[in-house]
Amino acid sequence: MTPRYGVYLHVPFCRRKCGYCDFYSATVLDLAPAYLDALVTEIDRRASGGSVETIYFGGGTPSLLTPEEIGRILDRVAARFSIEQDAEITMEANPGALSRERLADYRAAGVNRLSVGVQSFHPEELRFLERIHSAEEARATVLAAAEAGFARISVDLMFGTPSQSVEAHRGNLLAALALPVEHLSVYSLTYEPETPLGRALKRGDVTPASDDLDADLYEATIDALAERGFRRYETSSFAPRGAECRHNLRYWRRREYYGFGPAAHSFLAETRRANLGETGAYIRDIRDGGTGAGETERLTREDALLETVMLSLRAEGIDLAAFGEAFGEEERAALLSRLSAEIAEGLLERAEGRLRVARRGYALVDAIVERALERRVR
Amino acid sequence: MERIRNFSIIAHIDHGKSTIADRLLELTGSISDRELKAQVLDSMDLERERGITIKSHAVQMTYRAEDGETYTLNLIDTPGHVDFSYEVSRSLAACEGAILVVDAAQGIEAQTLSNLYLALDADLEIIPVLNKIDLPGAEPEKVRAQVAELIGCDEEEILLASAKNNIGIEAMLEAIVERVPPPKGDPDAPLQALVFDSIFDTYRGAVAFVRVFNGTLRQGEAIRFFAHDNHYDAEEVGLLKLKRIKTSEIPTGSVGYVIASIKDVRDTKVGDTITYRREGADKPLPGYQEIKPMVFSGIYPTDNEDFEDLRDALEKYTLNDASLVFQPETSAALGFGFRCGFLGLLHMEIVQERLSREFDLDIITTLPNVEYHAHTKRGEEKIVDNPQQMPPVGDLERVEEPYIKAQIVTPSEYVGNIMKLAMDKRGEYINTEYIDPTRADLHFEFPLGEIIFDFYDKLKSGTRGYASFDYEYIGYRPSDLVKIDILLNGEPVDALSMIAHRDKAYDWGRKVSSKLKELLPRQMYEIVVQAAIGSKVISRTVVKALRKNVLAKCYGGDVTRKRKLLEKQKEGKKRMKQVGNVEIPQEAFLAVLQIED
Repeated sequence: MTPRYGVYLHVPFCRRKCGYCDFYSATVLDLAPAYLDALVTEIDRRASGGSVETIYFGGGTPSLLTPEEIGRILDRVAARFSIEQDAEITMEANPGALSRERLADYRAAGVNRLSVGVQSFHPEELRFLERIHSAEEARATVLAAAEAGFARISVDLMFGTPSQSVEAHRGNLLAALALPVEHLSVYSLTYEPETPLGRALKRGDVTPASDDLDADLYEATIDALAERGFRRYETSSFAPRGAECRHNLRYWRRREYYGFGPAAHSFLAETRRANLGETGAYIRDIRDGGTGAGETERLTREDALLETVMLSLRAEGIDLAAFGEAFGEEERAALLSRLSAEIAEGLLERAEGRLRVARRGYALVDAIVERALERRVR
Repeated sequence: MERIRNFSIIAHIDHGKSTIADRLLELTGSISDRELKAQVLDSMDLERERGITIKSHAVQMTYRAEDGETYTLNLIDTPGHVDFSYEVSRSLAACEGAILVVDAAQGIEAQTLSNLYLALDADLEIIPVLNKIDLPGAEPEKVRAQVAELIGCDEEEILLASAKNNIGIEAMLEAIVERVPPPKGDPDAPLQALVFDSIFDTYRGAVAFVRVFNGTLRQGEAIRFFAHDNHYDAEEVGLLKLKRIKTSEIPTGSVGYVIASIKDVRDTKVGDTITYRREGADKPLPGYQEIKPMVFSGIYPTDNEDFEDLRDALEKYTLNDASLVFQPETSAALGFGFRCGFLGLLHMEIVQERLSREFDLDIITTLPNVEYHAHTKRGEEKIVDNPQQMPPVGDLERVEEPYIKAQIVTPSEYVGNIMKLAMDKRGEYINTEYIDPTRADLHFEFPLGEIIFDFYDKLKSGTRGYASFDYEYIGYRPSDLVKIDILLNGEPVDALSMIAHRDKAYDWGRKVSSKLKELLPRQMYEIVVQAAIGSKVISRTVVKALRKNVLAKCYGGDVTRKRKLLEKQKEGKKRMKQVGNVEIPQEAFLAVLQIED
């Protein structure tokens, strides 16, 4: 059987860095040509053949690359792998400065799914998040994308900005649903330590939403979206059945994927690899004949078990038969016995051969995962 | 025998006992400067740090006195805390005299008195010494008057000294020679040698330190102890200088050591008498007591995997300190550990500290408790040294608890505070004696269970550190005692149970449950924290359920980052203890120990 992969391509450029973001990116585009050369070289050096089910341009702001540049990268992927007929090819885009024509060109280059980083439709929240676009621009971009032929559009929203009410957040959700979107990614604002926002929090300059409010916002998200047929299929991902992001599903299902570009992550042959994080270093390494590899870790059986539990419970649940096959019946029984209280309490449910988080446990996935992985003698 | 002097130095903590001992050794040439590590007699770090001597040792000096004769002076050191009052009494029993050291600035303190009484009980000649007379705050005249009044001696008999600056040391040696009587004893009577201390030597086994009262202890003879039936041969005997000096015998009136392939220090009990197996004495020297632990607490490894290490450490520890007793116990909350019995509070602290310091163990200790006597309606008496063992309320006829007689010496302005503290601690006032118009000597009787908590800290804070305290056991008395259980979601946390007087139970229950509410992290379920006496709930609080614990993002396929985070959390959780479905952090157990009564 031909091996199937996902392909992630990291575009490390942004017009401006948002205060909450700790993804790797730079605000100068001087390196873009050298980066592109390095990226295609990395693809050349690492690609092993096989077929590609999904491609995802993430960033950064991939829409800073021109449709031609995106096309060039896709051509190289197509040259080294076989891209499946109905492959899902996503590109992240930020609102503003994206004309219908340019969007149509991306579509023509092969991109068939667009993920738009809207975050909010409230001017104050956008300011707090240091987004450079307005709510109107966000709407316009989504509409333009639809007109340009994108049938699959996802919108990112964020909740939990200081003083945001549940009502205000519901307003954001409804505003997004009023647009032609088939998928929403809704994140709780996370204060990452190595970001301007994280530092502001440490200084005491911002007051984060309370845990209770954060929980209320999340519950409101689940309820409001469920009413419109958007099912929570992963902690932060919502879509009608069939419209899930197939690329991200590969992550939760521990399917193999290549990650190309600086700071991209790959998962191949039970090995996790992170590419060099800094664009300059990445380019130099490729020029010196390398593949841009940073840290590589071959997973142990224990690591694999941990990942399986951690990733499955975020999404569609643990396939118990497959789990037993991979890790043994004893482990399977132990897992179920460790989680018996959570099952009894209705935080977890067993259905369709899976052990999955129930509605009551959606917000507690990490706590449940921890419980599932306890090795302590009681 | 005429030229032997056996003596001790007794003092309140920090009044200068160890420094005086150093100076005596120096002046008699028993030790060179190079050998002189400050305070030779205190050999353990911990002792030096706390300025107290835990294990007594002895050392022999030779002194050529002004009368031209050369004397053998045996200094027998004593432990400096009330927990060890029996050991002190046995060390004193080995002497004919005692130097009573009083700090010229501090004056008479509680241990000055308790040690003095022990010395008088042993019929010792007392040589009073004011130390630190050259300190800025010293009031030698005033303190001299106090001491003369206390002992009933002339002020001229009280020596003035500053051990730090080598003042008055020679006079002390002369006083020892002149005033302390030589030992009495019959060299021809059957052997009677008092064991006043023992240590464990890794190569030789237990080494007993003895004072020979009658007869002569000869190397090679078959010996026996009165406290048990084991027989030994005195393989080696000798004198105690800074090192052990082998001799062929220890004559009547002398102090020395005996080694006899004794595997266990528990067979060389302090206060026991050694005699010969053949033609031995028919009875031991008076005063021997079996030492009994008075304070109990559970000691558990933080990580259950360290249980065997903890056992090893306790076993090694007891090689040198037979007064610590321990046996394995199991706690539903803490796993496998040991119930330990200590002579007193200080002893408990020392053991705990040495376990973590010398054996590098991470331990959790439970609330200390005393030993209760529970009398059931069926007429049985049950010894309870762990709250878990207390019979159900319905079966109890009465419970008795140990009482102590306490002596508190304080500047008079704090008498009011002490009275209030005593009331809080269920103390019964006996009387007050005034050492002088500014210093009071208060006497109370307390339940020991009240003293083992925060009494000492409260006494210190209520008297700005000026009060001193000492106590002795006086026996068991009935009290209205109840067992308070702490329950989490209905499951009792055995390690947090405690026995208290009914009048204080509600307050205690409330404090523990609110402390737990503060320290228990929110978990997936609501946690109901209850304090209960039997089936009656006396306090209830709720820790609300955790509502959200999930990371929003999983970064662009960066699974490793999330896995590492999870592993870190898991590692942290390893230290949590679990009761039912509730996880309890270490801090919760520690915090309960800190709760003020």
